[in-house]
Amino acid sequence: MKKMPQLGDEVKMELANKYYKINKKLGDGTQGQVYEVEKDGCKLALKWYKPNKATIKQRKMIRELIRIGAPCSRFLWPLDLAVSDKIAGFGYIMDLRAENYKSISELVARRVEPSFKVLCTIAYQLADSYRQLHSRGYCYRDINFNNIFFDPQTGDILICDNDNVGIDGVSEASVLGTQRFMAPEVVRGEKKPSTNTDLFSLAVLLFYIFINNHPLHGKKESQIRCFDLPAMKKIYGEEPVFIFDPQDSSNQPDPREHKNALLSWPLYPQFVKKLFIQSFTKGLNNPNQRVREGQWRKIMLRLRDSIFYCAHCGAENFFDPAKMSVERPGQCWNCKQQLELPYRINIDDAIENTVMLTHEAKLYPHHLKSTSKRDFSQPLAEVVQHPRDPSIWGLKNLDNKKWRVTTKASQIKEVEPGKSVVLASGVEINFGNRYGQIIY
Amino acid sequence: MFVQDEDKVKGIKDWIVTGASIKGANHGRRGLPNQDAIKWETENGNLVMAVSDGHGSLKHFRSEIGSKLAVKAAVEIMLEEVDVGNLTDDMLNKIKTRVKDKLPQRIVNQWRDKVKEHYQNNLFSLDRVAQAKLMKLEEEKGIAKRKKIEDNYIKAYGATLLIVLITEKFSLYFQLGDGNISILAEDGKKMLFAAEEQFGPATNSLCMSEASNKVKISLIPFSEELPLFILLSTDGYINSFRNDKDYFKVIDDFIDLAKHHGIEYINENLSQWLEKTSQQGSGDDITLGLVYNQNLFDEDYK
Repeated sequence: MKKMPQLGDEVKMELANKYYKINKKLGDGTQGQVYEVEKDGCKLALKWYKPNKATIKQRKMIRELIRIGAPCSRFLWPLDLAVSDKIAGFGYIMDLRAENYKSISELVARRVEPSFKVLCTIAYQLADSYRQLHSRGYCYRDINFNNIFFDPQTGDILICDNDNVGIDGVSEASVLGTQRFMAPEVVRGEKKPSTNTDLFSLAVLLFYIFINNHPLHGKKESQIRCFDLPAMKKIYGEEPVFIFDPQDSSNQPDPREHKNALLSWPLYPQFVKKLFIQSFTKGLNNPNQRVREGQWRKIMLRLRDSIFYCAHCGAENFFDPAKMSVERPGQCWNCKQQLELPYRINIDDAIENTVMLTHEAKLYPHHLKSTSKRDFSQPLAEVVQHPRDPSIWGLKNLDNKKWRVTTKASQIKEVEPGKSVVLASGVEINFGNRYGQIIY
Repeated sequence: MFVQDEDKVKGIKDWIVTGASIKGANHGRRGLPNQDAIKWETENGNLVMAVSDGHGSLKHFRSEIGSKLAVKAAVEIMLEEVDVGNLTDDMLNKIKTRVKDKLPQRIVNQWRDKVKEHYQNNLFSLDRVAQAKLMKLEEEKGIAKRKKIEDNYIKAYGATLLIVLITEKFSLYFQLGDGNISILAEDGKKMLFAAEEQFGPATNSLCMSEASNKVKISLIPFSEELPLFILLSTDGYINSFRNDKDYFKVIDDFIDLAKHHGIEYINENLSQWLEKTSQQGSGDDITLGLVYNQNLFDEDYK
């Protein structure tokens, strides 16, 4: 009996009772190897476990994951168990990852440089996906940048390696995770991975995505030799200190080794920094203080709504309300020229509900209806340019209900579906159960 | 324990190394120096070999210094970073990401520090050769190009870097820019490390602003794959062959030569062979580093 599959071998899908042929090898990991398999033109991915990893416990776990099904379509979830009477062990079948998807590790290494808008979408989708997994009572256990993939154009994500998923607090973990993503209590060996430790790993991953650096890699890390693993345990487990801890400067970034952190951190608004500070100060050693997926989800949408473009160089910048009283919008991080804010809409008079009305802005149900969930399939409003006078911009009603608009001169008019209201400072729009005010 | 520790042929237990660097046939004719460099060192049971190719074109007019500083920086940092005592296989798998992350950055930083020190002691404004090169650059490419180099002196030192590190438990390969690291594995398979990086006209370089992100690096535990022979070469060598097949054949040739005539014989003749290769081939500088696993010479070894 062969230890591992070879090209041309056939494996049987247990539930579907179909045979798939192995086309090519796609990857090699510590647990197993991944192949492309095919039957009648239908291509899927197969992960086959290495002999020492193909345990009865693992097989039972895969069957359970197949039974419960994926929390959402962003998980490349086990679809069927794969077996063979000629190859030892077993594997499982999942969908293939589209070729345009890149690993987050490529983003962190700056081999792919997507826009801030895409970064916010990745972050939102990550928080939303783990929320869906956790709300079903499961934990992922090994969140790290090698098992998340994203479309650099849209920010859509795919989560791989779901075979380590387990029931929170019940199933025994076969993996402890990747050290730099582990919560301190897991590094110290005090706790096993759980949804609480997933929350820490998620915060590390988000920090990497935006800041391009590990949150605990500062001066202390730059004094440790590359190959010194035991010393790294100190950084992650025994004496973790956030590199931007407002109360403790002992582990600030080292300008020689953490240049990206020093350059990136000032670009982001205070409302995002606040969550990172919470995650890596209070949340470091107190799991109950960790930022929940729902908080990340909300803040990432807010961050995406805060993006506007520099009128001089076109670079994306973030609107930070905390800066407004001090230096207005400030300087562009790229060309250093003074920034000019575009029209923006403030909903229900709350500063956290501000959306920059850039040329591509769209408003969705969660913006305009207080009870709506996040649905990005159907925008309810979008910024449009006047067909005959490109200097005039408007907000087009894409809803099926009319809006009531109060102009600055206190005139009231109705905007039918398909019609637009001209963007002007002071205009108020009644969307039904929410109010918007245009600001410039 | 060292099996040999003479001037040129050195090794750590189970490994023997030699190498040579020659000025290209064309360089000799054009009065240019050898812009390649090679260096190897052993310390505490670890072996490092580094090879560098200075870019050579007019704007990189200090690249023969850049390449020498590169191999020096590589050897210093590698030996220092790896000196952490015994690493188990389990630890190796856990440390891979960190090594990929940090080692390129630290080697590039060390090179930049050395370049800065050299520049500060040899300012372009006080160096007649540099002034002549800058003047020529201005004549050929315009004042803007000259200014660019004067404002960013590091460009003048541009070079590639290839490194191999051998320890008791693993081998590590590092490549920035062109050149080749060829590996003969225990199962007889011949590989070109980071082969996909060899396409395209411009080479990656230590003088790029994000050089460490361009590095290809791989740590391979011996438990996964034991190399029997490693060949490091600057691009002047592979460019002297008609095709990759001919190039790969030299792996067999160097193994046969070592088996039948000994490493000393290779060491004595290598420069001469490389000069001939350059004359008949690329005309470029050629540098070659050879790392032999003693298993190759063990009669009982299969």
